Amino acid sequence: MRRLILADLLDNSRVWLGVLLVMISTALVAAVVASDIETGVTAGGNVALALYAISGVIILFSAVTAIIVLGSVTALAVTLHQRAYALWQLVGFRPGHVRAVVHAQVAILAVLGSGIGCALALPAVGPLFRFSFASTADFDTATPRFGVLSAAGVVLFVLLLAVASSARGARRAALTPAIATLREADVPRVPMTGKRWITATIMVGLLAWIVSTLPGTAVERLAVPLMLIGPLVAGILATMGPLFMAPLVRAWTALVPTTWSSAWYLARNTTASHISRSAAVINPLVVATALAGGLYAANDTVRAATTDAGSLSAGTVVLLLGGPLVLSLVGATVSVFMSSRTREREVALLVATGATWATAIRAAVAEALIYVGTAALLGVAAVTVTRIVGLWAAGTGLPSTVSQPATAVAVIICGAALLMVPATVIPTLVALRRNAPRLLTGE
Amino acid sequence: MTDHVLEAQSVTKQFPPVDDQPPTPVLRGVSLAVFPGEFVAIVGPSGSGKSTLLYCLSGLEDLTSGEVSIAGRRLSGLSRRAQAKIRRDHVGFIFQSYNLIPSLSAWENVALPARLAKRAISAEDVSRALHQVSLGDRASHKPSALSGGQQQRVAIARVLATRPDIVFADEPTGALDTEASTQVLDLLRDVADSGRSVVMVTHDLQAAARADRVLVLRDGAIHRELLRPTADDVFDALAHARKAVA
Ligand SMILES: Nc1ncnc2c1ncn2[C@@H]1O[C@H](COP(=O)(O)OP(=O)(O)OP(=O)(O)O)[C@@H](O)[C@H]1O
Ligand SMILES: [Mg+2]
Repeated sequence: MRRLILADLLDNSRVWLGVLLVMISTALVAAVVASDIETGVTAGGNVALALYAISGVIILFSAVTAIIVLGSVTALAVTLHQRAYALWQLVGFRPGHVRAVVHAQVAILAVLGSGIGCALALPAVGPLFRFSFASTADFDTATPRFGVLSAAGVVLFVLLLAVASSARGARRAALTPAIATLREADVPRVPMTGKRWITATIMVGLLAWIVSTLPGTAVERLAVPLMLIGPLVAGILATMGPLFMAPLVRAWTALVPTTWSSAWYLARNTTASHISRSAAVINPLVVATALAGGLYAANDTVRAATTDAGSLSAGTVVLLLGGPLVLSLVGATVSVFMSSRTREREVALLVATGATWATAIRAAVAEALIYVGTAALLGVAAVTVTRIVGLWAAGTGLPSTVSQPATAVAVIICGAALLMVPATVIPTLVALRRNAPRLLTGE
Repeated sequence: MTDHVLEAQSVTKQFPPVDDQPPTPVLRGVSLAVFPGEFVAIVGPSGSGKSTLLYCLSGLEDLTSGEVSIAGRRLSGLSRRAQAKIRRDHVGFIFQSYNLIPSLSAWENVALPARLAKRAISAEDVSRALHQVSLGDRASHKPSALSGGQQQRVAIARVLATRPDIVFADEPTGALDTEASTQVLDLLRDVADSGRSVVMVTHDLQAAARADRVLVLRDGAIHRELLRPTADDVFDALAHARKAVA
């Protein structure tokens, strides 16, 4: 059994390496939060109070991001593996065994990844802390800390999150009759499960509660609750994805007539029919957009309603958004790379069918743009909700400009496109350079 | 111009060495020509270079030396783009498996080459091709909902709808049972009878016996050539080729 676990980890290094990267990033983000808390506990006094207040927001931002990103990446890894798991069952593994192996693999990676993440965080938390709080009084005396206890907490957090997110995939891997998976060359569609409904309901409840507390709150104190709305909406959208994602992709991509570009046509069909694969890319991007846009939308609302012209300092933005943004962008990029083995075969087939290299590459670019475009639509929806709730709660009229949140959203979307295009194009180029026909004959 | 659809001269192919092993030539000077409407089968022991030859002939793999022309146009020296254009104007493919784009339905897969070439293809043409392979009722199915034999027939329908001058098939019946194989071979025979050429690699003697001409490959060179052979003739020639290798 140990041999099988290790052999499989090596064999499918592309997929597992992706998961490892996301776990390292999650651990890094968690380490920053843990360090803030630890620093606060040690320093006490005003520093502690200020740190706790900020940590609350960061914890929520980071947790929502980590749950969505690590969750979808782990789930994707397990789904991409279903064929292998089915084969194991055919050679005599009992379903219980398969499940145990899946959990063991994920657990090994979680411990390894969070360990690496903590090690990387060690030299980083100090400078980051000083940069983030450069403009805050009292903080020059505080020494940033990141001790064994914090590290242990980070490892435990990543481990629990990873195992919980892989549970569904592991159960499915164990229960799927081997033959059904072998036949299905594609990743099967993820249905709207009971767990998803429950998670979505909880998040909607949380959202409703936050909104209900807003009327009567002093305008200056609206910023923090408003900031939470964006990520929550993103979380709800990610959870309810199976209900609307495929139709949404099909609907908006139909704006480009299929006769215009065969590349767009191919990309559109690929993204819409491998929707769980696409969702693993789109969801993190939605989170990133919602976080950045939401933060500025919340801040804008407060600024418009008060004479106080305070704007967000670079330190605050990095502190609040840095980790979650990095994590979600890493997650999206990794998801694209993870599923590139199926991409290679499709590219080989396209070339045999007479597609030029240019068409294959354009199709890859189109695929990236479809991911980013879909994420932009959903992200803007989340920011708009923040905006509307903010206007309602603050009781002000329409603000004269929406420039700041719009800029934030635009920056994230462009950044995402800059990452996604190479992520789809590079594997395509590799596939084009590789011996094309051989990809179609063997496994 | 020749009246050959496919012409190959002294084709050699050598893969770059793996792990310090001296590079062994996989193809050593293969020359052949295929007429319009001809059905040619390539047989040979495993590892003799059949698949490599097929990919070299179709321009999917670069040659080490030699010449290949398709429809009178030499492939060597052409840009990749020009090669892709020749492929989509003159060539059809049927592989042993993974013939279809998983995200497209049977219908869309059949129409794909025309779409890539920005050629108009009528809905009737696509439907007719699917009916010819008896899959008219499966047009909207995705490949994952089709059996191996059905997927193979969709690949043939793609060839029927696109009407290429030459069809390359690598073990098209490799994964099929006898009945499904017969169906696929009948269809390939029809393709050839309608004036297009078929070059098929196979290890199935019955399949080879359906061809007009059988080339026996051994160690990367054409060892024998059989005209309208029976399955027994092919069997004997193969046994001889194997003995000569051993
Ligand atoms: N990319 C490659 N690099 C190095 N050697 C290769 C490569 N592809 C094929 N070969 C070698 O070329 C030889 C011929 O391979 P090929 O696939 O053409 O055989 P084949 O006749 O089709 O065999 P089979 O009947 O088993 O399919 C084999 O010895 C194989 O190991
Ligand atoms: Mg072969």
